[in-house]
Amino acid sequence: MLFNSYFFIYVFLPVVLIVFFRFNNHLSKYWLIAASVFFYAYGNISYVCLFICSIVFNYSFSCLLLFIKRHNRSPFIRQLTLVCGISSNLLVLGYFKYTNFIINNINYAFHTMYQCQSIVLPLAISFYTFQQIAYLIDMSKAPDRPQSFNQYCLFVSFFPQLIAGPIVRYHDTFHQFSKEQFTMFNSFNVSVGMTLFIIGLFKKVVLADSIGIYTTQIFEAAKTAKTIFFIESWCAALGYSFQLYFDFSGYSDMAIGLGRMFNIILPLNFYSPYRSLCMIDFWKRWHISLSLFFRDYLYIPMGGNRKGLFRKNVHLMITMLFVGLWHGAGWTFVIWGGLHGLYLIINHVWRFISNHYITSKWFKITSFNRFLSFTTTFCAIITAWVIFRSDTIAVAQKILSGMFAFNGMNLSPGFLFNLSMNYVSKMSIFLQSAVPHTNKMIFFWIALLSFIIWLCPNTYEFLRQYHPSLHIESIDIKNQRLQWQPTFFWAFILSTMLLICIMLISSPTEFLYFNF
Amino acid sequence: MTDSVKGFLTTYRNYIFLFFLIHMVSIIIISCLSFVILFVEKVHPYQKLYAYQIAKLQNDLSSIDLIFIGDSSLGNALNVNLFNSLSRFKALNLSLTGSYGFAGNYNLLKKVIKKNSHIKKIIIVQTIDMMAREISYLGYLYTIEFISDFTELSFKDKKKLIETCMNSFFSIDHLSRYISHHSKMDQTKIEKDYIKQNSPITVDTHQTPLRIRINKEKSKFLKKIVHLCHQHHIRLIYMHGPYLDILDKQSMKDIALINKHIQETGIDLIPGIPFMSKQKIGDKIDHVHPDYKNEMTLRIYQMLEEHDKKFECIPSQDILRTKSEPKISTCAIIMKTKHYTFFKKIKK
Repeated sequence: MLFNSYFFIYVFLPVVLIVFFRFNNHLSKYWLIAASVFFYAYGNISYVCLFICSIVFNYSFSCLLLFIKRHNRSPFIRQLTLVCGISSNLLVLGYFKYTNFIINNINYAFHTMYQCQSIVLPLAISFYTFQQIAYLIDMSKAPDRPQSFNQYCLFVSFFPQLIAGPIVRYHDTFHQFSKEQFTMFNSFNVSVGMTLFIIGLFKKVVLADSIGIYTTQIFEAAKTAKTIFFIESWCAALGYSFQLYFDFSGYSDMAIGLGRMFNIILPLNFYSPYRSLCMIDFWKRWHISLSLFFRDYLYIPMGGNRKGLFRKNVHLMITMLFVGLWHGAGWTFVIWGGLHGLYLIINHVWRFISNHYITSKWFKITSFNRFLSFTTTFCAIITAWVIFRSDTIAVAQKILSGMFAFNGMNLSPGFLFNLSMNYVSKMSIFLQSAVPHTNKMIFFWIALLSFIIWLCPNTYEFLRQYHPSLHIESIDIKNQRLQWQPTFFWAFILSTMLLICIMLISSPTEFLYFNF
Repeated sequence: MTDSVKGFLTTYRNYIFLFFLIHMVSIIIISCLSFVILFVEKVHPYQKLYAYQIAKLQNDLSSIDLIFIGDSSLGNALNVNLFNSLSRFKALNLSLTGSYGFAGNYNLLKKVIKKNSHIKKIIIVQTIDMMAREISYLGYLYTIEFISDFTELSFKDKKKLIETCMNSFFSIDHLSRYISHHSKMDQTKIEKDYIKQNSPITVDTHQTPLRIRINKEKSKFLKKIVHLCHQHHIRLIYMHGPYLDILDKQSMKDIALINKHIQETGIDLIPGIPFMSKQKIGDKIDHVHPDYKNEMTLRIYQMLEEHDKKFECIPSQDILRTKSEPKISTCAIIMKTKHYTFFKKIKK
């Protein structure tokens, strides 16, 4: 089920909320689990069994791990059990996500003719598998008593975060599920949750989907067109970067808002990533829950930064390659991950050199240096997004050669600049011929979204007084004039925003991250 | 609970109440407006076309033998008067648009059969990529007339139709259409039996060849059409609409798959496509330029004749005369077409 559908907004959510608060006892939890399974099954029931089996399997394994720990069996047995649990999860994920990718590569490398399987990727498999792997690892380390099965089911299946995160860790939410207030109606939480949800919905439906139409046209045209021109390729790259950010951060805001309506505070997932001044900063702001997962369960166990600069960089590269592969079974994703690995290595080496060897005043923090850092980082990010978005490496090549002016900086051949025309007509022709494969409206959307990204407060700055998400304390939030308050003015603004969304979701589109 | 906390919570309760009140009022206003636009004023260009085609059914249909149904590729390609003079059929062109899909055509056909159960032949003409499109529940919604049109659907289709109805009801498109309609910006005109075309497009040299991924569910309403015709002993022929000649090897494979998929419904299919060159296309690559409408009508007639040799002898009232007359040769048809065009020019 999509958050941006009438059925969800007007039927599913109100019914689930009303019944949940009406029960106001242990039945509320069962109701929420049932509603979450229905939410998952709606539209495609075929993978519900896999989802339920995965929950039962992982819960059993976590109990086994705790049993082994309690009875002081040898660490080897505990490690072996943990490895079995993790491998089983990864095997299932690998089968559904990577089988055809592996077959295609074998065919290509060894000139074999193995048939690709017709495998449909089960919805949210990457998210719930990782969430449960994290749970198993935490259970093997922490001296906790086993959680009840219904608590575990709720932790995995809780519908706001089920499909596309944030990837929740058990210590983030378990204590919240067991609080007495969890099932009690709290108008404060519902108000804050509603606000977060509407802002997220607006980001997705109005901002991301609107620019998405134009960027898709250019990326589609790149499949067949001979060349993509300079301005057009920059429009495609910028447009897609904005689309992806508003789409996914919109989803995360909605998920966090929905969680809040049910008195659950979910972790922060995005914090203005395009304002980053370096790549290290970017990964602290983009898909935070995934970055933390890979940091804690892959990068640090490999040795992290404890084994010298060289090994640290190797660990970084391996981690980022896996991050790329997690996003999808394709070489474009692997290259994207590798590129980000490279960016991070350069960033760490640069930081090391500047901390240890450079004392020149030129490298002190000044406005100009900040601007330079910001521009370099942003350009690096959007270059990588082009590879991430492209269906094939050839498409990425076409757009990147356009961006780096390998095809020259000229406009399209259809460009006619008639001197007899007035300024508006000239401008109109100029803009349209700059983007022959899409509509000139893309310029308007890029300008508007740039303004929102760099000059407006983000969702968490806007709601900073109300503790909108977990881990927000660690961020130094700047004082913003624009602040949400429970007043008539904001009720009017938000209901208008919701109305605009309602009028635009006549053909709901999927979230980009549903594919991963 | 202290008084300050109680007061605090009351504020948030008030906020939630206020928020829902404003939202409900605005939703009610939008709903009323949408109702007027959709069901009273009917300002959508496609609704205008549908009303125009439905008006033809109000006339006496007893002399009609043949009905053409389909999308805009047919509407722009067929001159029904010329076709009648070529074939000596009494045909009626009820082409809608691609947005109506097979679902809309199915409802239209039910109306036609209800009005005249003596129809012997129906020809569906749809553009080649029709089988790749989504099922047009909107087309079904626009053409619904009786409650039975809704109840006959499966549970899944009913659900989809309700969703479509809601999507369509709150869509911002209606408001913009309503405004353009009342500010006289709406240029939709019916001309030569169909919606007037916009200026012709220019096709660049890198025009993308056709790539089609068949939507296997799409034939659902086509099967219903086949079943309906079978029930009423009506001969049904499917043919592809005109299309720009840009197909490559892969496209031909795709078309072969489409044909196979259509034939699986049990329909009698004419597998060829009446291609047209770049110079002859109108405002879309499957719309014939109005200047070449007669030429395309002739092509359609020829394809039908080649496919079905008895094509000319079917009209019941002409049966005796047809037997006595020799079959018209293609050459004679061309002459007849030229004569027709010439005649029209003189008339102008």
